[in-house]
Amino acid sequence: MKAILIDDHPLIINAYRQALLKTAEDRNTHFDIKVKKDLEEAASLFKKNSELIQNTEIIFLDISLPLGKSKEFLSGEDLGIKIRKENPQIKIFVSTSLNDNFRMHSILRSIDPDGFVIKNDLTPAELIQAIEIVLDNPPYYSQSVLQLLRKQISSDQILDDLDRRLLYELSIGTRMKDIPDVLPLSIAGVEKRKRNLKIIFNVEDQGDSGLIRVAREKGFI
Amino acid sequence: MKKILTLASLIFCLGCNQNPRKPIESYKKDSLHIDKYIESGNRDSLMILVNSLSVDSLKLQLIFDISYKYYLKSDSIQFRFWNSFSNEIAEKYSDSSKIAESHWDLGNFYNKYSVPDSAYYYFNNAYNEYKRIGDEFFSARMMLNMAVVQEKVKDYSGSEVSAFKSLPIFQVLQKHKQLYITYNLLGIDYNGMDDPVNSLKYHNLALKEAEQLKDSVLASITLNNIGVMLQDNKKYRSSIQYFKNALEYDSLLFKKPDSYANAVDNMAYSYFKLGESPRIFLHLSRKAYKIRDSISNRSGKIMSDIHFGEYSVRDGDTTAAISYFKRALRDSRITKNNSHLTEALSQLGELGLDSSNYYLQEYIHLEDSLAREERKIRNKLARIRFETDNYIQVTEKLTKQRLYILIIGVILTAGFILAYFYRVQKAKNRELVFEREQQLANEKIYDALLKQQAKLEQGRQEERSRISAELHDGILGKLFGTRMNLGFLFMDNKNADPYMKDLQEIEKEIREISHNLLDSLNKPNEPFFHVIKDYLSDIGKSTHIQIEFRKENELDMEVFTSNDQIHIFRLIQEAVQNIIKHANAENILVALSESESFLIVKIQDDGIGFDLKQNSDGIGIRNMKTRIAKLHGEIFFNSSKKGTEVLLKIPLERQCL
Repeated sequence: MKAILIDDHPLIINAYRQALLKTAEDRNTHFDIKVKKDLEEAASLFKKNSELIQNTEIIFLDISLPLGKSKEFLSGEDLGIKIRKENPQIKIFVSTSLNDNFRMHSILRSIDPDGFVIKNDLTPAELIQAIEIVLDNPPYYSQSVLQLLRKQISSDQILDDLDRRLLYELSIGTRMKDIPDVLPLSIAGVEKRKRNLKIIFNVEDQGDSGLIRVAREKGFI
Repeated sequence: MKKILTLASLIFCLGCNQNPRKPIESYKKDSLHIDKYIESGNRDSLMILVNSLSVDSLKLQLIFDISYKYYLKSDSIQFRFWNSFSNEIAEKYSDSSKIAESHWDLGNFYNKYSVPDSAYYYFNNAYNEYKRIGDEFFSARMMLNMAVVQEKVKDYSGSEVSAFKSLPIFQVLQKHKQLYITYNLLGIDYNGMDDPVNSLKYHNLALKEAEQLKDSVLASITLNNIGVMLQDNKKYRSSIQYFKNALEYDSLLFKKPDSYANAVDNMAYSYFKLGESPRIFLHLSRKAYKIRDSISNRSGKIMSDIHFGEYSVRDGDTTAAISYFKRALRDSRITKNNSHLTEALSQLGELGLDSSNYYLQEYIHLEDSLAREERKIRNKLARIRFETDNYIQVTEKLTKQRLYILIIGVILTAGFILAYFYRVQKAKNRELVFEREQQLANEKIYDALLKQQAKLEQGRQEERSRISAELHDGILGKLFGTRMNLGFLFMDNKNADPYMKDLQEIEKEIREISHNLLDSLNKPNEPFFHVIKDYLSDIGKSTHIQIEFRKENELDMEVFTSNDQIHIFRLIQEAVQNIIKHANAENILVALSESESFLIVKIQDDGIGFDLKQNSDGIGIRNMKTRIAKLHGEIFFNSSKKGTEVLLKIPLERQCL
């Protein structure tokens, strides 16, 4: 079986290798492993007539990959989207150290990975288990992801994309005057949305950090 | 050849003595008394009478009348007294016309006593006075009097000038009497200047005036004068005709016997000069002498004697001639008549006697001294005129000068005042400009302070970000990798499990730290609050007032530009300053909060409060109002004896951009 590992940490690559070895042992097969360490190397996967991607069973994808020289892909997420589009049969195993509900939600929606693990959640045993499940019976989500999904489903608030992004920007400390540069909103628009969100989350008399706190609780960020 | 003008120059000082006077009958009830007092020279009684009159004008009139009476009586002492008194009283009443009249009277007096320079001087004073009050007619009459005096001292050209000065006024006013006198005088002047043509011309004009006036006496005088003029020019035959015409006015003998005698004698002399009809000469000249003797005309008798003498010389009767001339000489010495004197001396000198030399010498001497005298007086008169003119000129110049000085003074004063105000304004302006500059500088300082604080904050944030990123990207990743690999290694070793778990925990902690670092990015408003806190704590330290600063937790000052933030800071500062200056407070509270998209700033103190109803705001309050307007906000004052509260309400959304 073919597996492609895309990650920039050699230690983590080694961990994946070991895990795949164990898995292969259990299945009495062999994994042919190819490693790509940045987005540019990963880009070569999609060259015309590339044999690499054929017959690949599973791709391990780290979301936070460093850029290469060519900026064909801006992030691991982009890469994931492309893989899913062109080779939908390949199983995508996303691992990330981000613990950001917003990003997690975004990845789930854009890539729809077969496996989605937060690095911190993993132990070696769990990794092996995750790989097994992804190969046989996807999806596999690690603990944090499951918690996020639970929060989201239990919450009956509907926020649109812009709201989520706004909350995210606020949470990372983007200044009010800079938000119009990042989002398609004017300052007045931002204020209006903030006010609405505060009403929705029932934190009208609290400041911005109250909003962020609640949004975090609800798993939006 | 010198001319004997005595007979011709009978100038009727008609104008001199005639004044439009009210007759003394005004004081009817006292008139008899007045005459008696005047006769007796009882000055005290006259004075009492004068003072008894209550009306000022009557008082003055009486004084003038008294002085005139004494003038007529030729009582010089009394006249001088009353004349000077009249002048004094006229000055007291500031009656310019009467002042002039007093001078006039004095001029007449001097003229009568043949003191020509004084006469001229006083006539001149009167002239100036009349001119000053704008009385053209009387000033012209004074000018005429002066012309008469000038003629008397043989200043013919001067007299001519003066006469011509007065002539136009008499012509305009159609004063025929004065015109007669003026033309008559001009005729005499031209004769004196050896201009027979003009002399005749003006005498004829005088004749016309006399006819206008229907005054036969004046007419005959003029005819006589023309005759004399012709006689001087040796036109003896024509002169006789004129003398005859003059004598045709028969009433002349009664009205003016001296003129009559003159005409007769003149005619006789013409006959003598012609060398004809000695009998006519003798007849006429004796007739003349008789008349003159009867009226005691001393001057005329001297002329007669001289003529008799001349005749005697022609006749060859030297002895008679000598006696006539000597008599003439004696009489002319007595009467002090210089022209007669010189004539007599000259005749005696020409007789060729032993004593002739003596007479000639005296004659020359006299002529010289007379000439000198005349020159002196002419100069004196000229000087008086000149001095007066000069005086007038100087006065005018001074008046003009004074006016200029006044104008310049006013302009200068105005200029100084303007300059002063300008300086004051400029100083005020400079002050204002300086204040504004200071304000701008202050604002710049605060702006810089805020920016600096912001930079500091930003630096801190960036540090944190960096650390967070390093922790997260670098260490966490490595730690995870190592943990996983170790895990695989020790997968079968149950003893390793707790350590693996610990490692996992450690990972988690690092991650949390990394997050928290990022979290504290949510405080972008520090610089502003920092500045306020520092300021308030400084105030608290220096004034020992308790100052409390409260702010709502989530207050976001980011909506305000740094300029606006400065304004808000300054508003707080202004309010605090006011409290320190006026309120006498112990506690101050500065609280910032947010309410319905408004920033609310409350500055409260427990001082003595101030009068809200004060109509004019102090500079502090005015500044605050200006600032709050710039922020498009509102300011509210609430004050009582227990304290004051200043409330600022500033909109967060800037809709009016």
